[in-house]
Amino acid sequence: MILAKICVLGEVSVGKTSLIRRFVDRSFSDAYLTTVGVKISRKLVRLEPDPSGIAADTDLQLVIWDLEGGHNSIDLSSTYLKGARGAIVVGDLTRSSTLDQLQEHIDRFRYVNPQGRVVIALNKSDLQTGAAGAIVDRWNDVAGVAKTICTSAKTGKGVDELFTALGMSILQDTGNAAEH
Amino acid sequence: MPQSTETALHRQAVVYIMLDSSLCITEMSEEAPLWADDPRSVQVGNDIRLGFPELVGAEADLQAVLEGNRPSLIISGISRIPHDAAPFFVTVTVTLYRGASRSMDTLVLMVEDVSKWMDEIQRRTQMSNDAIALANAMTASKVFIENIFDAIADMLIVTSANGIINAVNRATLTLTEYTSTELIDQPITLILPGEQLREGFTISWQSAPTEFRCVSKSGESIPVSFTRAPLDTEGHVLRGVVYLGRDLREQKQAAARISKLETENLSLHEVLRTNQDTTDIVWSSPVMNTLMENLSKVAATDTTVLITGETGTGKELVARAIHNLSSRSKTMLVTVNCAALPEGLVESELFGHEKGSFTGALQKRTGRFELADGGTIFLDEIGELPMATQAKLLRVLQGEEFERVGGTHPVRINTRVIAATNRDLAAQVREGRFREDLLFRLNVFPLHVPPLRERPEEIPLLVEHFLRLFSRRTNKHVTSVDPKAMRKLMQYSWPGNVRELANVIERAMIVCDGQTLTESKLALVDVSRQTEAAGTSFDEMARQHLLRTLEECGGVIEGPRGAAAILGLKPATLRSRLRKLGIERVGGGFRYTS
Ligand SMILES: Nc1nc2c(ncn2[C@@H]2O[C@H](COP(=O)(O)OP(=O)(O)O)[C@@H](O)[C@H]2O)c(=O)[nH]1
Ligand SMILES: [Mg+2]
Repeated sequence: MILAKICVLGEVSVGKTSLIRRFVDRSFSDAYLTTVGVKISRKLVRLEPDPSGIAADTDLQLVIWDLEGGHNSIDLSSTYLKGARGAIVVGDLTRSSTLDQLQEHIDRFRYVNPQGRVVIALNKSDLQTGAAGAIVDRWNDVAGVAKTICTSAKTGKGVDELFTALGMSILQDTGNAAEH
Repeated sequence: MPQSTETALHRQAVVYIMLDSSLCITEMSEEAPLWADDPRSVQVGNDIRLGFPELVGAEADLQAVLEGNRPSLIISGISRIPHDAAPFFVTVTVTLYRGASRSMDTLVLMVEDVSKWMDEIQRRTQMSNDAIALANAMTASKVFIENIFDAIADMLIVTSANGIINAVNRATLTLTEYTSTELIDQPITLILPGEQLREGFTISWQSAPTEFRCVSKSGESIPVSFTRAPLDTEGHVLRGVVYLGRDLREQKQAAARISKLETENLSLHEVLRTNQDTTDIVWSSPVMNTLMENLSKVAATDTTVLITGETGTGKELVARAIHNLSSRSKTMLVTVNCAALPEGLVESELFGHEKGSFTGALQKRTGRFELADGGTIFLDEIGELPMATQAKLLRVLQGEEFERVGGTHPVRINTRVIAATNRDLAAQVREGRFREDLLFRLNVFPLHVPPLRERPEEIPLLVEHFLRLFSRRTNKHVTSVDPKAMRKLMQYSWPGNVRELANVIERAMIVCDGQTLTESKLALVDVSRQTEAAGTSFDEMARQHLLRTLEECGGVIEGPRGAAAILGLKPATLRSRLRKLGIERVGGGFRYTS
């Protein structure tokens, strides 16, 4: 079994905690619960063999860090980001300002973990009326973003796919490293 | 002797766990599993990461601690939510426990319950939640907007393709103070003078929220955020435009409030860190008696206090005591270490800044002074304040208003100022590095904390105090000190004062096996080196120490093996200290110039 630390990053109230709870506990709550300090959750994911055959039937234990939103001191967050193999960077489709901040969160994560894998969640897709295709395309083109997925912590749409995509990306990384 | 505060929580004490180099548990306190995320997996022989998942990913840092390249690893404020008990928070500290030989070095993991502090942060954060919840609810309501036209609190305006108003909802009328007949058939520019009408919009046109000034009938200019969407397009021809607008006045106030709460939150983190080592003041000597008497007298007033004394004498404890004894004790004591702030940011940290006032000022920030409004601000290491900031501080001390960096509105606050320094400010004034008028203002009520070597009679009492304190932390029951060891403690010159004494005792207790501390367990700095150092100035000692450390690190400042990490400083702090001490990079190394 492989243990991998991952962080969930994004502006306050974009749905970081909700995505983790949907994935880990299979539940959702409308109440807004601020995360004070750090909550660490764990979940075992079993990855199906992928076409490239790298991640065949592997057990991956994700150790998921839920950090506070907003800009706290860099010092604080880099302790928390350190050693993470990947990050889920979350934006809220209904608030474009949170999408504008995605790059900053990616940069901050990359600064601490240059090799870290990144996937983007465009969350609250259940509230979004227009098409998000253009936004997804835009982010998929950004260097170093393994995948961009529209998610809804409320309905569960895209959530498993999101964590699995990050898990796969981390395993491919491990696979590549092992080959060297 | 004053008792330090102690609550009856069963999780109060610190537990420890010893690890071998492969991070497996070799020994631990009985209660250790209670602090874990998964208590069942905390057993001798098991990988520590099973019970303490926060250590996954920290392997490189742990290795650095084990190799002595890093003093410790601290992960603070981790929440635990047990199935059968109330949630709590822990801080995990990993340090090196030196064995008899290198190969016997082990890692010690100490886990401390910090719920008390985190609860306070939670309580404060909760207040900002209501504002956030409201904002979320409003976002969601956009989906149903067409159906609740008039009931909605947002402004809704429909215009024709050429910008003539066709319909408005009630919120629009309330905000603009016009009647519907006054608005219908008028151009949109009547209320939104900034709107630029465009022709030939295509179906794909849709705009992100834009901030407009909406002008009311009485001429008031109100900030409103508008989203515009095309209406009823047929064959790519625009029929009209729907404007959805939100009054930003309240949101702006809420944002300011949240920003204040965030800063508070940040300060609490700092409190959390510094308070881990805080204990009550313990004293018995006549000099300290006088000091404490003066302290309680001045506490009751709002007078500015300047605390002087060498490092480690407990100036922060004195400041805290003043605050706690004052009428402001129910409010915040905001502590600012002026030496730890990056030089370019001191002013904005203290006084706040407006969004966009300089590169990197992405958001408006509430300064520490505003944060301490109604309370007390403690400016530690005041001697390190840049001249420009000194001028602004002087104005505040004189009761004048100040402006945020890049701001235009004056801010007035009511904050009590306590400052501290280990420098000779009068000498700094002579050297032109400190403003004389500011010194006068600060020096209204000076309190001098004498160095420990001037009151050796207090050492036995302090030792007893720390023995008790650390018994709980280290789970050891050391109750006495061997007379020979005590004599050595009393003869030592304590350049690091009470803090050094506390460290020496704590270290001695970790390595002590019995109930009595013996001389051999005391790790006091070699006395011959002491005398050699005597006569050199503090700056010179610091300079030599920094140069030696830099050399050991091959001139590297940042990173886990860098000098900053070894010295336990932030890289920016180290750089500014080097500048102040006249140490410059020359070629690959560092040298003292001038
Ligand atoms: N409709 C909807 N609401 C969501 C979704 N995800 C989160 N929320 C709500 O958004 C608010 C903030 O979510 P939270 O997970 O606490 O955000 P965090 O600050 O990023 O951790 C809560 O009220 C959630 O119920 C989603 O996918 N759809
Ligand atoms: Mg959260």
